[in-house]
Amino acid sequence: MAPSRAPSALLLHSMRSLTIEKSPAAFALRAFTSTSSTYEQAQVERTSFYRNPDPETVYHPRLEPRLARAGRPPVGSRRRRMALAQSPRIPFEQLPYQCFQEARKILIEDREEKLRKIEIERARIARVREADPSTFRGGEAFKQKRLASMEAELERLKILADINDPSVKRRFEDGKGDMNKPIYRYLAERKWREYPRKVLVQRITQMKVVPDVVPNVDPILDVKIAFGKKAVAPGDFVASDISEKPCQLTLQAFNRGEKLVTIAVVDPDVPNLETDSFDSRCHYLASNITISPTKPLVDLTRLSPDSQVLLPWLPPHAQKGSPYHRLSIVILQQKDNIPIDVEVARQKAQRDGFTVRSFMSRHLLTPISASLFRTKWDDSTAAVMERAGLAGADIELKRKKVEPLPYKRRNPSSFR
Amino acid sequence: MLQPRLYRPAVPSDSVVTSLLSSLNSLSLCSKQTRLQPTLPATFVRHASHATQGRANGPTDSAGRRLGAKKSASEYVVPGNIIFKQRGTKWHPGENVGIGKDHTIYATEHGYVRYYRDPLKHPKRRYIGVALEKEGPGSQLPYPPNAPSRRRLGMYATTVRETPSDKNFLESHSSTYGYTPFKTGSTPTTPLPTIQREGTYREANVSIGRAAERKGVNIRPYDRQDRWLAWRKRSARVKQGLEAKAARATRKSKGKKSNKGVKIGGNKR
Repeated sequence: MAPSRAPSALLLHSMRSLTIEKSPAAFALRAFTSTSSTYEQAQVERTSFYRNPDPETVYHPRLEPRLARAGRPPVGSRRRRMALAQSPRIPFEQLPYQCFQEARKILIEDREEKLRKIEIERARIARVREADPSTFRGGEAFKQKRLASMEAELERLKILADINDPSVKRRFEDGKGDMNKPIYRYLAERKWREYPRKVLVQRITQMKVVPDVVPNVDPILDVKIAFGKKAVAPGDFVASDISEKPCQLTLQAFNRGEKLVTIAVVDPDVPNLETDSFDSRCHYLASNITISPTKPLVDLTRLSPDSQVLLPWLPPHAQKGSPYHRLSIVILQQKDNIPIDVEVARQKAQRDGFTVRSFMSRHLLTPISASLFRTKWDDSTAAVMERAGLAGADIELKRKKVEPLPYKRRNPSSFR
Repeated sequence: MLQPRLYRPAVPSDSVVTSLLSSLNSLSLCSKQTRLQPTLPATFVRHASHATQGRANGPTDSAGRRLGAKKSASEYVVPGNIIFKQRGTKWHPGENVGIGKDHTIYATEHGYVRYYRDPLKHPKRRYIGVALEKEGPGSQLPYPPNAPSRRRLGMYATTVRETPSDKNFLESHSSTYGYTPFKTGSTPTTPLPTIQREGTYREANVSIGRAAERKGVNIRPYDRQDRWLAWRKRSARVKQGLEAKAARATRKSKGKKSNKGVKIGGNKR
């Protein structure tokens, strides 16, 4: 038989005495008994917990909606809230794990080093900015290029300073990140690029928004579509009565500063019986819309009809029997944030036969993101068309029969 | 079984031959030169043990599968025409064509067949497509990069026919029956007898299901919050079970082994 691996009683006694000897020092630093005392406190608090639940620690499914109704939605996952409710909640600095504290020290040192580097980089940028462009070999162009690369390096250092901070991570996951700070913008962009952007790119390429409506687009803006409270994933079918009112867009930018954008909602699938092909029609066009990372919400109903809206919302509709219509939403950035003269643009903007390409070239716009939703004939379409004063609800499209090829007997002599 | 001789034996088996050769060697004058070795056949015959004919080798001479191009380039096709039959994707589907489960390429639009490569889509693949026009810029495949795709509507317009809505349908059809099935709020009438296969009359299952309703029996709707009722029911059931168990025990002690006819509920006795 193998000898037992259990430590002898003597050894255990000696170790226990060691811990007892060491503990007073720890007591001086921090009360170790606080674990049990906070737990008791939590027990005491629980008497009134059902009356006044805490959004940080509530985990009972029945209490969560009550909090949400009161305007204080629960924070994070239920699993984490449950763990928090049952933990003593000692702050990081006081956690009694030696290895953990050593690791924290390393992270804090690293952050201090990054802050020092940021200071140095800022001083360098100031020096280059002060310098006369003639001192550089490349002149002014070189100076601007140099400054841009230094600014990029500064942004990188700012992100590196905070990327390992657990409290930053937690604040981001709770949705409390401040989008003015580079670290939260960086984290948000990383999260977006991990999955939602891939879905968006797939939808706009597979449903051919990219060659049909805009020639090319590399999305740098997160576009979320919502009709009232109902969120619409890119490419979803939306019933005609829901899309009768304009949608709300969330245009989340991840770069610093404000952007002036134009929003176009274009349907490239309008059937044209005369040419036996499809036309495009503009359902909405608005310019001079300011967005920033902190103000992403754009409600199409609330844009100013005088200074922003070029073509008001036309309810999406598809005639009975016609293939589904893609209502593609294109976000175009205005060059150098210069506003478009609305009066002039309004004269040129036509609903029928509208093409994003010509509008882009006329006003020097570049596409920065695109999305779409789809619509087809449903029970409510006829009523929607009647309310909007559109004709053609009584027309049904049917497939033309293609005459088959005449039967041709090939080389009949060989069959005999 | 006889095994084929593959290896040369290490020791010559024929002792008579060896002894003779050794004596000859000793007698020979030219002993400096090569000694005579026992001559053995240089080649070994490997006899056939694998069936050349029959099931084991599989059909090597099956009929041709009639694969290959069924329509050549710039030939006119209509939807559904098979353009190419193949094993695997020697050719990939391009514009206005589909691919079947056996990788058959067929047309989905009427037009003219094109065989082409599209390096922007895939550097190595060969594609088959159907161009919508015979001549002109629209007849070239692949389409230029970033250009909008050319599509054909292929439809004609008619006026929408008025279809009777579902509501009217139900009303018109329900009036023919003597009773309205599954219509809440209506007073159930006497059931119609249904004739069965043997010529006997039986009540229809639909009306059996509504027997309680006709009698006016009110059943309290199940409420999972009502634990008091649930507890009462459960305790009654437990009690009944215990009674039945006790009854069975007394019966066993009397020496009757058969438990035929004993119900779990124990209501019979």
